Amino acid sequence: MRFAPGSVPWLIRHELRLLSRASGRLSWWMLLIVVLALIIAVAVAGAPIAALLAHPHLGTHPLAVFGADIAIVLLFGIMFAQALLLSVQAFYIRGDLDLLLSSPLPPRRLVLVRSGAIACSVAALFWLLAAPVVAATVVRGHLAIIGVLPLIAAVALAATSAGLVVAMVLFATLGPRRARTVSQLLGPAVVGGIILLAQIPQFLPHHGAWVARWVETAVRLGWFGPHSVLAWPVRAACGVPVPMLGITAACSVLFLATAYAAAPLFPNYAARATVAVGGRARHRPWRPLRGGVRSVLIRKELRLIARDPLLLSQILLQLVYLIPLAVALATQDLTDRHMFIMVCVGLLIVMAGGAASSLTWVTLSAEDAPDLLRCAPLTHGAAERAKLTAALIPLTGFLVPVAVLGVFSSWAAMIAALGAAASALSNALIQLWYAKPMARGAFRRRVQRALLPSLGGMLVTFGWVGVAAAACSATAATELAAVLLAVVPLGALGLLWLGRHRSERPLYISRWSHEPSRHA
Amino acid sequence: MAELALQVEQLTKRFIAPAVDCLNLMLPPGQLYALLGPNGAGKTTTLRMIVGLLAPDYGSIRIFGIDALADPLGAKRLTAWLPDEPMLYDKLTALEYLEFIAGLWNVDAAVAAKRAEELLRWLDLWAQRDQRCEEFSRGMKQKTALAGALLHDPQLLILDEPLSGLDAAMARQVKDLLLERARQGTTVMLTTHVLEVAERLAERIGIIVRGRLLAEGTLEELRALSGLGDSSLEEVFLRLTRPESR
Repeated sequence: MRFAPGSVPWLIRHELRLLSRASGRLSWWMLLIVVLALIIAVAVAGAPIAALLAHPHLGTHPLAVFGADIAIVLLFGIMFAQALLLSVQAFYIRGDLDLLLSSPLPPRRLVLVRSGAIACSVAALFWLLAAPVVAATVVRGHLAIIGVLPLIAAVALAATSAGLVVAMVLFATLGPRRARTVSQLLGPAVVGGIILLAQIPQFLPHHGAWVARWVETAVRLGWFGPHSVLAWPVRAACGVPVPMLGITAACSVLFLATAYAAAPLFPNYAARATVAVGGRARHRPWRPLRGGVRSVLIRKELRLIARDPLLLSQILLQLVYLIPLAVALATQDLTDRHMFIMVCVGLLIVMAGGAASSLTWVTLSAEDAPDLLRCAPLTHGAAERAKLTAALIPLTGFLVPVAVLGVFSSWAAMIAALGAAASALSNALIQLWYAKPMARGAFRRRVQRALLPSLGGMLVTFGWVGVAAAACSATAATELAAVLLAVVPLGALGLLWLGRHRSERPLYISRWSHEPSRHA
Repeated sequence: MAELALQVEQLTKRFIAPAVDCLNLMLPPGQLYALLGPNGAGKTTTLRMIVGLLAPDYGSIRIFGIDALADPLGAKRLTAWLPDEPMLYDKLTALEYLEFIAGLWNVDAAVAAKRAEELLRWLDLWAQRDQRCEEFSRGMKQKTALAGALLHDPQLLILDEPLSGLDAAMARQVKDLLLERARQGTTVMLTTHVLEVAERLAERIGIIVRGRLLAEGTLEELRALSGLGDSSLEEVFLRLTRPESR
């Protein structure tokens, strides 16, 4: 299809082309995995939820209305966090921005398309998550459930509008540099905050019975009645035309108005983002990095990690995502002390593995100046050991929760410490064996670019959780089971070791200098 | 005969086609040598093999008598590499970057501090020494990387397009510095597309085309080889690299 050059559809096609090529082409086996995952998701998750959604009175039931409203608020919060980050990055990521801004295209058109791309990025994940449920419900004959998809798009448009406004306000009040840092911290903080807030009722007396009482009162007062505006989200999701069109139209108008208002400011902010914006730096004396090359490299890595708020927040957010799962498990029956301790041990092991994997990826795969290290007089092994050490040092922070756990059970604390150490070391080694040069900015895409080590790491981590769970019981039979179960993570680790990169060590010191190939 | 600063023999590297093909180079200490060639001629590949970033398929590299393939760390201690894209850490300040370089090359702390101040003052970066590299312009990044390359006082300095991104005044300053370093005994090997730079700086010039050394010598020798009397290096280069001249 041909569009007029410079028109909105033409620019959208350009954005989509760039977006589709940003993550590289999917190999056939990756495509197969995605299709299989979708089929499994439809079968496992989609079908039961679809049965629930197919209930004839879903759109009018007060509790469904209340649940949908809460879900929309959560969805908006998560989407807003993403949109804020992407909106601020839009000023910084140059790409073709300078080219487009210097072209005779009206800035409004450009901002509209860029904002649309942000909204699409924000909605994409949730469309993907909703797809199995929608597909399964449609198969059951409830075609109207397709209304979920425009509802997600509408929320994405509203969240993008909010993200754009907050990004502009941050830029105007704090300046480009601080705006970027604050957005990097604010986005994940919002998501983390939502996740943690959602767990509060679990910890309240009687598991938040007061929330249920409040809902009952609100239902009696008719707040969540079928004709209330609060019922629009669930009715829109069920494909009722008026609420669906109403919400979509309102969010679209909000989005267009925001993009229209932001357009005159956008080129100015984008230009400011390129200028050196450092404040008055405090001058400090020369501080030699003593202790040899190993110490120099470790300190460099720790300094770089500490100065990357986006990276840190993303790593911490990964850990925050685990909390609801653990809380859900632990609060099944808090009176069962053993269950509670086991969940804590498992959580610590999973968290340590995840953090080790992320930090090792940062130090090994996301080295900013690999050629500098390869030119320097240090050996490959020294560089690798220093980088692994640097990645594992922050994990000593896990000693604090382990010590707290020790108050409840010293045996469990010991198991947690050993399990966390094994999990962290295993994940660090897997990252070392499968190191692949990438930019730090690719942190969130690292899993899809290195699927085998990521899945392998998860398998090994959960293997260690199994070992720890068996060991926690502290009976002769379970201790024997723990020893036997250790075969799983160790075996997986062995298989991953066998499949590691053998020929290519792309990061630090090329092996050629030690093992030159001199074939004529 | 004095030991050569750089001796490259039969250096060969193939990717799909030969990138560098049986290249021989000999640079005595203190010489400023320019390696010229059209795009894709194999200049950067040659330099990357010399500094140990790329494995040659065949050939040998000796740096001040040290076999760079057998003792790479020994060779790297004497060498500095400045690529056209600066090798920096965005989240480190200029001073921290130099501290890191001093640590990697194990330069004495007092000496490194003095040298870092001298270099940063000379490169007009002293006032920005505590700013992070992510805030620097392209030229400032290039200058920071240059300070890093010179900090450990290398005996062999290898530069790929060292003047890219520098303003006229700074480019002049860098050219003077390279001449001064060469006078003090540092061997400098550089590539550049700005032929006036090579004409003004280099004692000897090598012209490489499709991985092979097409011609080598002083400007006078190259003029004689091309049959162009008092012509500029640009004209000599264009004549020698013309397909029918090869």
